[in-house]
Amino acid sequence: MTEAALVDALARAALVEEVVVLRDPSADVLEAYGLDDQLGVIAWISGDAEQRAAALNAGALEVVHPDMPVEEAVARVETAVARFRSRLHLERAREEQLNASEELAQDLRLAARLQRSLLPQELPSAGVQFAAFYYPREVVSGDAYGVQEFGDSVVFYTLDSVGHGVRAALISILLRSALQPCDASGALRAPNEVLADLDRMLCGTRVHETPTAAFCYGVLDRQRGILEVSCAGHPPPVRLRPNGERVEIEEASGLLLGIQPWDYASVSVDLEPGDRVFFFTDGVGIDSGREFVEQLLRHRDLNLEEQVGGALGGVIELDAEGRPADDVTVLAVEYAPDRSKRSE
Amino acid sequence: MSSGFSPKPLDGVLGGYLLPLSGRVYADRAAALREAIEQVGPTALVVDASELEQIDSSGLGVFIDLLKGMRERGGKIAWFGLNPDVVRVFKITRLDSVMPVFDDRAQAVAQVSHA
Repeated sequence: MTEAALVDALARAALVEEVVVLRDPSADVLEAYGLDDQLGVIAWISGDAEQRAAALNAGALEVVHPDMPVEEAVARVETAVARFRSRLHLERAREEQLNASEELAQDLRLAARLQRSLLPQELPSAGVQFAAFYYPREVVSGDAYGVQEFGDSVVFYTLDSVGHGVRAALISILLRSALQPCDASGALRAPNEVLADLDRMLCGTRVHETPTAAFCYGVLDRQRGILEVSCAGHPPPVRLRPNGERVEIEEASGLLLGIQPWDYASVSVDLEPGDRVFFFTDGVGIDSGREFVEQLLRHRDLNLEEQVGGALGGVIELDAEGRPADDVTVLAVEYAPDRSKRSE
Repeated sequence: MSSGFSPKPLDGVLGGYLLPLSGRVYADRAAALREAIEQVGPTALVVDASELEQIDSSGLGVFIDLLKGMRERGGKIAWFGLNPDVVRVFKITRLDSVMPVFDDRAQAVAQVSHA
């Protein structure tokens, strides 16, 4: 290999945007270039070993000199340029990734705010009392609940889209927007018909990973104390009487939404004043709510909100970041006709 | 197997596989489970749940997707050896009506063998 090869190698290095080639640079010049960490210096030092060491100490990527075999000098230059560019590339990629994850985090926070804004801001209080608890595991959640008044009736539901995170959150928003409590004449529809519609909609989607959700839907007639319920793959709602009697409303359970068209059933329950009914997603525990219901019984002398709060405290374990293992939603309703101040 | 999921061919059932599950199958293992099943592409699947402690909706979602794909080709999934907590999940979700649950392996294999 001739010296021309080294001249070529240095010329190629000098053509690289992030690299400069300097001949016998002074310490000041090297220091000035060293301030820019996006720029690398290859130094040709014709002086002695001390000057070469000084150039390296001042931050040169590589030093070549006339006493060095040409092959070695060429290899050193090429290696130094390649390493420097690769380091820069990696740093830039990391930076882009950081920016991208920050953007993604901002998007998620916005999505979470939007999702929360879809939850009821106020709960009805005439003839009933409601308490709602909603703890998403991640920023956005596959769980949701809703409460809406229609004259003497109140429609309410809890839902849990299968999976976690953004995908599950999108399914829950899709379900919420497709929900049709009333028929064309404005009359309330039976809960099983409402669920059958949602089921058909999910069954009709054509994506690889099936959108599936658990749903529990109720309509309470506040005048007559009649609750109609239908569930799809959802833990059965539990009715607790003031005397401590508990009834799981199991007959209302049908298949998870989105698997195959299903003939859902509605169940009608006559409530007595003081009866409480609890809708809860399976995030309350891997035993699908058995311990949660025990805890509800233990706290039954408290008001509705304190009862649910106390029961959740007894079953939900939070991780080091203060998050539950799964999304948790509880919607509780107490039939309290004496609270009605709007009629008569 | 690092994923912990290894379907084995089921003797006497063409395209059939036996999939043992163990521990807890939650969201963190769902992707590995999906990959392990998709790699073999079963036309019939028997799930041995005798070592399974619990499965959540993300884990079940893998079987729901699989079932939808398999049913178009006449395939079936059957489970056996479920503990009471897992049985309760199948009852609540009513998944036992689309993926039958049995006490023992022979019954589950017989179920998927019938075309």
